[in-house]
Amino acid sequence: MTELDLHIIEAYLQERLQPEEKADFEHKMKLDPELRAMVGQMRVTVIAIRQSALDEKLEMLKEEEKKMALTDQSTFKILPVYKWIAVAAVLLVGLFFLFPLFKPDDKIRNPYLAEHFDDYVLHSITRGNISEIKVTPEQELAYNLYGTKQFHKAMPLLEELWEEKKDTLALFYWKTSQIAVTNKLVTNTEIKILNSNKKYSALITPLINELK
Amino acid sequence: MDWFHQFRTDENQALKDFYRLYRKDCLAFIKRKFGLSQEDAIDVFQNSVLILYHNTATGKLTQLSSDLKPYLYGIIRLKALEYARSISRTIYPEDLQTTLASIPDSPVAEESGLVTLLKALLPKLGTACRHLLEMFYYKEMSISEIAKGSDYSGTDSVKTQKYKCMKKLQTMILEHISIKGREI
Repeated sequence: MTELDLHIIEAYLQERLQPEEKADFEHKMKLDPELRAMVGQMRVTVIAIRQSALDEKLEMLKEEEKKMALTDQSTFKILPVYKWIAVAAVLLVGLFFLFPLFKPDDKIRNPYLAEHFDDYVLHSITRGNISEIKVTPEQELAYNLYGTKQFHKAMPLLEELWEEKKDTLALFYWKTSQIAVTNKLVTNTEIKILNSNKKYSALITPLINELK
Repeated sequence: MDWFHQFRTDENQALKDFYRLYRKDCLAFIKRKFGLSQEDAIDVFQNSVLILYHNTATGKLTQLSSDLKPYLYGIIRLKALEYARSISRTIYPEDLQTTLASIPDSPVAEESGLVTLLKALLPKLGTACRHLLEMFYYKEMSISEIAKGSDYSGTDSVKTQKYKCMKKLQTMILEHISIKGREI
């Protein structure tokens, strides 16, 4: 391809030829397969140059995107440190103020039980000498927790004593503890069990009557 | 900011600055308005910036009554819709297949292979040649415009250099075909 060929082909592809020149050139192309091939190759070359230019710019934008994404990530890494410190501080302050609200309340809610609680601590001997009677360490712990009105700690231990050892005193303390903290009736079955024991029946009846 | 002036002065830096300036807002807009993922939004944004660049580089867009932002958002809307419809993920200003199909006696696949080959060979031409060919064939700048805006001594010098570059490219193609032929 001579410089003149290139010049004419460019002019043809860029539509800079006059109508007569264009018609003449197209006629030559029909007759000359070599010229036709040169035009085809030139057209493709122009497309490749255009695409290559755009590809280069696109690559540049992608590189820029990578840099910005890294910046975003590093910003993200820095921010949570402050955020987490702030969140932790808020949680700590919140817990400090909210904890008392969620703390188990061992206050006796039933007025009758509150007045007569000592009557419901049914040991044959005084609580101060509890170690002198034959009780297991588990019973001692559970009874003492009940006796000192730590119902939430006492209840699971008392329940376990009733379920596993059929300790009727533990059942009585357990149910009394439930009434103490919830001020609600125990189930009829449990009342029947308690009533079957004369010692507890006398005490549980006024308490249940208070609830009705 | 006069982006047209920036693009004319240092197009690569201007393109990077433009990208950085509008990226955050545009990505948020694409994701919110068209429900695209971050990755897809980046694709749409990059293609939209590329189209805007193409329109300024080829002289289709030389001035605007307002700044480039509304124009960019206009392109983004079209591209995001196009993306959402899954018409095309690779966007070129020219439809290559249509162009190639219009070339007489040149099967599309064969020409497409030639484009790939040319794209691989162009970087080997050297920066000066590539830049010159881009200015003339991509940006469609005239010989006198190229001569004015560069270190060439005159229009004849530009013409000669352009011809040399094209010959060099042609030689490279022939060499490549010759090597391939020997391999076969």
